Amino acid sequence: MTRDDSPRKADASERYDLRALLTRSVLTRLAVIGLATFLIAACFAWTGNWLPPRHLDQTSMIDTFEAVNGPHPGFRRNHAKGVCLTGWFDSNGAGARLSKAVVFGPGRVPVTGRFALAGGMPLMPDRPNSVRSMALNFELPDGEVWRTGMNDIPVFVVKDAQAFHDQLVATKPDATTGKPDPEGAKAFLAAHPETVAALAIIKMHPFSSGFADATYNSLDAFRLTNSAGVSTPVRWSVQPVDAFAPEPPNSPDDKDYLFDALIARVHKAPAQWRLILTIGQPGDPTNDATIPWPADRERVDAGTLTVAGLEAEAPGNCRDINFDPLVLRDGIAPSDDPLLSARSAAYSVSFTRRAGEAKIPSAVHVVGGGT
Amino acid sequence: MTMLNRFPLFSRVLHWAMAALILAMLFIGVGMVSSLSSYQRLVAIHKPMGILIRNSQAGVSPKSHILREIFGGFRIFADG
Repeated sequence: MTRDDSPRKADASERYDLRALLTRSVLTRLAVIGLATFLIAACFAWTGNWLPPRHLDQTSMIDTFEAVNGPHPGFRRNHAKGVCLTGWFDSNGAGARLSKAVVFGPGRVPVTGRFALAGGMPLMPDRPNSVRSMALNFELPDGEVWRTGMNDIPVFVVKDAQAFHDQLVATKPDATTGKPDPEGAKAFLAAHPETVAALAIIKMHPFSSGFADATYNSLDAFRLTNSAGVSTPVRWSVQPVDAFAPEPPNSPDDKDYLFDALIARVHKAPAQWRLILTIGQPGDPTNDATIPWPADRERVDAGTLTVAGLEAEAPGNCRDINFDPLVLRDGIAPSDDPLLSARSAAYSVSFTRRAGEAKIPSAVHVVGGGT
Repeated sequence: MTMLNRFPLFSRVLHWAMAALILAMLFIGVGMVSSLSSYQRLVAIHKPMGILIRNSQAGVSPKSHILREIFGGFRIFADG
């Protein structure tokens, strides 16, 4: 510090004086900076769906599940009641001409998974016509996994996430009567002819008597790519080796009869399914899971799934797996079906929420000897 | 005012590229978790872009602990 600095000091004190901000040119510049910041913040808020009109997103979708089904902390927001399965998949190699995925080469891979009932109530009684699901997690030799969630209906009831949400709301039981408002359901169906058509197809396919004799379908289409780079649209399903028996007209009173029968069946001997890849032809819709593909489409039997054991949901088993339909492997890719992205997004919110919640045991207990 | 000591061109390009990428990541991130239809597409951008940013910064300044911890944290989320 020398005396030579003093003129500069005076200059600086003027320059950084608060009053220096009040000149016209500085105020203009500040306004431009403020506006730019505000606009970026507004864009950010709009991107994050925090500004009205808010569209349906994964958070509001899962909020709707919680509003319709009530709070069930610790459980999946949909397909809440379930049991874990363990087994393996014996690939016969026939799928390799369609997909280069390791799982379709000949050989055996371990599989874990989950049987469940559709619906967000973990303690709900098993009922005839409950939609059943099988979710699988193929553990591939390179440490990777392939996951799929399938249902025992031939087509899905809605074609996109908005319709799924609207159908949830329309069929929500009324708080006073305990039954859905028939007007709401009627209005939904009037606006969704594809759902009317899908329900008619579902009615033509009787439900099976249990979990072990049910066919589970991917519903959504996927694209398989083989080692030559050829991409093929497919829908897959697992078809039971057990003979199909229709759902008896009078179901037992036992609230877990479907699960108990499955547990007894698997304890007796492993239950098996064939993994069938149905090949779509040009013109077969891949973006609408409510529309079935023609019955004469080529089907490739890719191998046998064996379910050898069942266990109640517990830490570290299927309870802690998110059966995200977009956990795929090289050689298996999503189609243009909008449900796939929506399922992946919503499952992630459901998984994140339940991961942070205290758990209570599942309604489904597995007792007796396993194999 | 004159800039006597500017950072080398490479550092400046890297700095502004990082600024643009990180801002883009913030937008893609909030857009991703609030869109059912674009979720799949945006996750497919978000994951490799996060790896790119993290590796660019780790490659240039391997001792930058703060950034490394931030992006290490992001990586946990990215594992889904």
